[in-house]
Amino acid sequence: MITEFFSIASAVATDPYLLGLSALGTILGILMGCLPGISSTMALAILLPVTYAMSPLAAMVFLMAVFSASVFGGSISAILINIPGTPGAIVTQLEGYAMTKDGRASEALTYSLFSSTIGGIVGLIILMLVAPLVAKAAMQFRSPEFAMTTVFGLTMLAYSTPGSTFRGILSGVVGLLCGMVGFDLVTDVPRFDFGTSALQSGIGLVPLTVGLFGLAEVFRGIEGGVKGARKTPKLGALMPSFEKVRRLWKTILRGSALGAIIGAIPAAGSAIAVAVSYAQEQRFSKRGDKFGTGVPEGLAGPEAANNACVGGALVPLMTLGIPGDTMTAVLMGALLIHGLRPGPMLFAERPDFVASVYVALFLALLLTVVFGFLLVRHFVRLMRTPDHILLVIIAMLCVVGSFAIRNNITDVYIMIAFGVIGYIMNRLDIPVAPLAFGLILGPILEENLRRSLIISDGSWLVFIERPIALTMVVLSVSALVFPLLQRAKTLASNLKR
Amino acid sequence: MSENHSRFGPKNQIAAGLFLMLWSVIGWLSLIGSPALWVNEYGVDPGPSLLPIISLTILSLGALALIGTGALQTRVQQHAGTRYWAMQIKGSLMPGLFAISLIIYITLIDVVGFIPMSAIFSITWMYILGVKSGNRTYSSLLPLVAMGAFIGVSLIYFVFLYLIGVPIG
Repeated sequence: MITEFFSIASAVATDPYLLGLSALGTILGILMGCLPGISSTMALAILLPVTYAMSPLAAMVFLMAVFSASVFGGSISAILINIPGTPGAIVTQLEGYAMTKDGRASEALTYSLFSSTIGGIVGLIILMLVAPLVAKAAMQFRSPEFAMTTVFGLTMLAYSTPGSTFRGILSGVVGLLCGMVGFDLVTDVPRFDFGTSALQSGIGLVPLTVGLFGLAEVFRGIEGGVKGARKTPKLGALMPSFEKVRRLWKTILRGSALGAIIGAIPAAGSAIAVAVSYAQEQRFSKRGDKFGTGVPEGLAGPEAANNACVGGALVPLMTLGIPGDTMTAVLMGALLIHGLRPGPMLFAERPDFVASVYVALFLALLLTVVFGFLLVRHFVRLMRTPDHILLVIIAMLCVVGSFAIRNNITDVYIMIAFGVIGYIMNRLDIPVAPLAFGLILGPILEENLRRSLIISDGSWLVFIERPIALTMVVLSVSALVFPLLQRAKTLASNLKR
Repeated sequence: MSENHSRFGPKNQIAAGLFLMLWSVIGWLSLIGSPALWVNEYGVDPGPSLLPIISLTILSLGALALIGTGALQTRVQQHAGTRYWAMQIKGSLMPGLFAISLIIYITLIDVVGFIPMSAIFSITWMYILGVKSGNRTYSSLLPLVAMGAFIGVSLIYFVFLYLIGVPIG
């Protein structure tokens, strides 16, 4: 893998097209991440159609740059205007915005950039070390294990989604049903097509994700009251003294390790990693009681954890084919569009491609530092774009982007339908992310479920006779039962009252 | 991570349940109306109807549970807001209009062309939303809207239609 890493790295570094794509992805990622109202997931979903005409390597280089850079972008708005651009930047605003109010915005941005980069590199190293081991272990998996791992992934994603786990699971089931629209791959029997040819080819991932994560957010933005131009603080010099950064090295390493480990747990996500890191730094710091007033440790630790999560979240995606969060779900969609199915076989059959993902991430981290320092003032200026301009442009991007995949107007109607569905689900407090996961994981689950039952002559015991499959079943059931028990307890106490 | 009960009022539980029940009813109707799915000629393969049946059963029971919980809570909390539905519809009016205008926009792109239709769509909505934001006077809004629409449409045209060659409009 190391040899492949260096040969791909030299190929990418000497290819102006790939370098240019990575640079463009980094700039767009930082820009979209820092614009309030555009999350990393939305940025990836909107830009995914652009990669359709690219080679898998070029698409990965571009999307990894958007993915990694948007995480830092989300911190810019958290630090400067107290609005986190991404879920992982929720904690950043606590110390970051306090530093901005104190006239130390540039210092906060520099800490964020340094910590993010180091965190990202640590996450990448952990990805490179752990992923081959997990992939090797996963080579022992057969259909029952894959089926139950998929169920476990879906359950965990529903469990970790903010709001109700129960509703998250039902949302995931709706996603599974959406994934079954069209011809059955084994028997060629049409399902849920309502006799229309438009649905026979199925519901594409791009129209669904663009609708759910793009257009639905536009609707929410319109509903929530459109904001005018935002005021942003003036920035001073962006390079703090070496001594100031050196003092934070332990904090950054702690945050990085935590982020990479938590990120690797399927569905744990960056929001949990940064919260744990912040709490840990508060405990370790001599100025723990001053947290919330602009303490650099409270910013550097979570920022490192946030970016380390990128590498961590790629572990379950690359090795098991289970996306760790919504962003990696969209990345998985990109891989599937380009004919690559993530999982242990990817390591065996396409080690060059796996190495190219590492290279793409490494390059994106380096370019984020470069463009972060060079262009941050311009990004800050663009943050003043009023919502009424931004929302309309995003809506038009959603329309053209969903059309671009297959040059099919039906995809645009499907995208608008899922925009409306996503908006309604948001209003009804039904999480939307599991729906996308259901669509992605549905076909994998069905294929392995049916294959398992064929092997076992129709016996469902196959899922509890094999230790790994049984473990996945137990974990999935626990994730389901635990919140239900909590719910029943609360309901009982309400009734008592 | 955890259940947040206080967020979900009885009306919300019922509305969410009804929304999911609608999905399951549509699913069951489609499944029942497809005889090919019920043919048992696939040998040891459990067939293409296995996962749809499992999924729809979970969805139907889940939706029923939400509706039931909501109904139960309604009995417990007599003060559940009667204006809930009216507020839901009123709040969704603007996004609804935006969705309808998007459908008109993509339908007319073929007739009018991408650039003129996008210009009309973006200028109209940027202006409406700008007025709604209430931070600017009408006269100061116009140049900003014109510039925003010009940059937005040009960017999309350049990236998607010119560079990638998407045949829209």
